[in-house]
Amino acid sequence: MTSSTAFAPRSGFIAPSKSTAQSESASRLAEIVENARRHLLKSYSVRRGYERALGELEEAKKEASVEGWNGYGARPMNSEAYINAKMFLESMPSTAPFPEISADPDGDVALDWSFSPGRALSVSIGPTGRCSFAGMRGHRTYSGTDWLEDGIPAQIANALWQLAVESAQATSKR
Amino acid sequence: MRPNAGAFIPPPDAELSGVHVTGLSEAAIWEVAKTTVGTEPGRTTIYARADVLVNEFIRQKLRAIRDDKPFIRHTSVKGWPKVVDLNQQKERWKAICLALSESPNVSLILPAAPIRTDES
Repeated sequence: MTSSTAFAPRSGFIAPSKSTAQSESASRLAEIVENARRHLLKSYSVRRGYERALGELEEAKKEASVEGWNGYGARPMNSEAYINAKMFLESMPSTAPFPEISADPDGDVALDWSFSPGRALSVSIGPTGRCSFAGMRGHRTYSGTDWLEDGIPAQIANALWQLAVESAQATSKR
Repeated sequence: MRPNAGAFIPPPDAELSGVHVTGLSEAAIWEVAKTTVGTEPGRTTIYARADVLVNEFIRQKLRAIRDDKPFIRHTSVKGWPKVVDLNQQKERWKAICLALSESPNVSLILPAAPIRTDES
């Protein structure tokens, strides 16, 4: 049976393939999708967002490289958390909005998306791949914990998708 | 523009540091920032600050206590929920921080230009 999860459900975003299908046609399909993703990444605007995010991650790592970097006992950015955050960014759909990146005082890496007033998502990535997140959609708030495994946790991907779509709809109504 | 939720995450001692700015002029607030935060290693530039009404902390079940240590007007934001499961604790802290960052009572204030703290 051929399967591919390269297109995130409902999103239209193109994400790295997570398919484990073995057949020749499945491999071919995965290859086509991966080529399309790489092609998109080469485009100026998409690549710029990805590179900006990686640049911010490096900057945050540099700023939070010593014990007490915030003046109040903050731990340096954990090297495993840094690697996990990089993996998270690399796994992001190439057309998704990229976050602002900073260091948490406990050594985690923080990713923040702010779409419009009352529509935001904040994710902290830890050394074990733990992703603590909190989101806001108007008056509705939610939070949770999930783990990076072979890609962005589904709860976070869905939250991001919903926020992006709602913000786009709100913008088009104006 | 809004302040990032991450800006409100407290350090390991669960006390978020701030400055009591009521009654201070804009220039005086930036001067406090320059002479306190700006003296820490690696903190050579101040890009912005977040102004938070104390009521907003209370709304989040936190307490803002002016203690004047380690400098005059220093204020500690306490009462962050302690949870045995550290993952759950982080999750709850993030929800509070996001609520603060998105509150209409919290403002992101930018200086006219980034303030260099290593220049006299």
